[in-house]
Amino acid sequence: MKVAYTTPKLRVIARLDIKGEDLIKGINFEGVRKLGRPDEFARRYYRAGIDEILYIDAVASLYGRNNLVDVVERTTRDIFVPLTVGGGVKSVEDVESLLRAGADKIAVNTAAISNPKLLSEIAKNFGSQCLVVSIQAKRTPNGWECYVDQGREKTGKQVLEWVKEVQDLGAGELLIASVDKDGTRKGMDVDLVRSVCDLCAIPVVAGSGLGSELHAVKLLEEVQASAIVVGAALHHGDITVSSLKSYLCQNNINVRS
Amino acid sequence: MTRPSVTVIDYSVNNVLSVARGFEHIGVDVHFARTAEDLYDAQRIVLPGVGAFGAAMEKLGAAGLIEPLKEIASNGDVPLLGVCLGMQLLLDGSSEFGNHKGLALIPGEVTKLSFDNDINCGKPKVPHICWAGLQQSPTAKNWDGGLLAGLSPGDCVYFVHSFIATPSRDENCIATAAYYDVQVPAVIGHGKIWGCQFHPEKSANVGMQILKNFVQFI
Repeated sequence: MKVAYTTPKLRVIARLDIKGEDLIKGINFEGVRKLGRPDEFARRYYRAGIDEILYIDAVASLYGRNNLVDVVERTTRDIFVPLTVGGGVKSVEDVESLLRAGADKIAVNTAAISNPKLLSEIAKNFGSQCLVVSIQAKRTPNGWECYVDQGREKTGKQVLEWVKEVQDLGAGELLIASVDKDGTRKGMDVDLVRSVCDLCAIPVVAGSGLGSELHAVKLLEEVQASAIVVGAALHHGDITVSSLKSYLCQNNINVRS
Repeated sequence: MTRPSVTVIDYSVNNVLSVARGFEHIGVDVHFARTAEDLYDAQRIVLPGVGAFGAAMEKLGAAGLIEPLKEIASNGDVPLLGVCLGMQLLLDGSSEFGNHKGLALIPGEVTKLSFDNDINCGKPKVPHICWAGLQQSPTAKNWDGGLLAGLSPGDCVYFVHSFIATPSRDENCIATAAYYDVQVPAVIGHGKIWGCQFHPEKSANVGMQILKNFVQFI
């Protein structure tokens, strides 16, 4: 059944960086302030109409593992939108325990770059639909370089090459964040998102830098990203889920109301 | 008064728990079926599923669930809801990674999502990961008293899939959702056998209403 062309609705995803039991905020992956219980914030955003939730374990590298199983279980008892979890996911076993706790999708960055085969193992065992490859990109003179460990460590790998590789390895979705823009609330790296989108047959989620409703519109005027991530601006109250969605609607960007 | 119950087929796929939590949240008791015996007492059955068609049918077969499920569903007394891949398994078969037979409870085929037209940055992205509004299909009766009771055209639900399940008979397609130039079959139904391509357990209030309707009306 084929009919006239309908542009899909943009998804708005709330990102919560978690340290232990607390939602935290940071700037450019440095400096941390506790804001409260992540599942309480998630619940509030859910009731306000957020489309998806993203939990990142911000101290996974400190402990050598992802520690979010408990908060994932609490969250998925009464929040019925998709939940993606990342930070320190290193193995098929890590993915399994997070999925069992209730997560829908798992985001992998560091472990995938050091062991790309992990991606195909995850896709084979659980399906591509649960595999989000997360890329932290820092601008270089001739493009962008992949960073790991919350934007602290360079890898020498070129972002655009990695984007092509991960699709062959079974990624279902790509989450692209800018190390330069993350947490700054000063705007998104439009060139980065556009370059990645052009190379991707899978959906691209644009993260980082969203400080105002205008930033989102500026990005989406130029690039058909499938979703945007909003973090610090939301937790601080600079924007709300409804103010963002209304503004997008007013600017002819289709969202779930 | 006893609480209503559902039996969710647990055959090592990953949305078993999410589906169970959705029903628990609306006050329905959840049992799990891992063997044929578990199915025979079911008040109503839910077949979840994510991942590949062929692998899922193999797992169902290995657990001895295919024939009992087909028998119970064909008798027409016990409501059955297929969710996501679970909906696709209700059909005759799929061309995903080779040709695989399904449960053949609703005539139709599962095929890869494909598009006639490019968009300005190449082909539309696959998998289809999106909130999309449900639309009444041209041949559907209205939605009263069925899985979509109380909902309105345009109410959004959450999709994640790369294949679509198209019933051979138009009257078995109850609702669709648009993705670029494709009308994705979103809800299919035949007697007490229903399927949702989207995830009601991840579709917020609209999804919870669908789960309630399954228990109340089917």
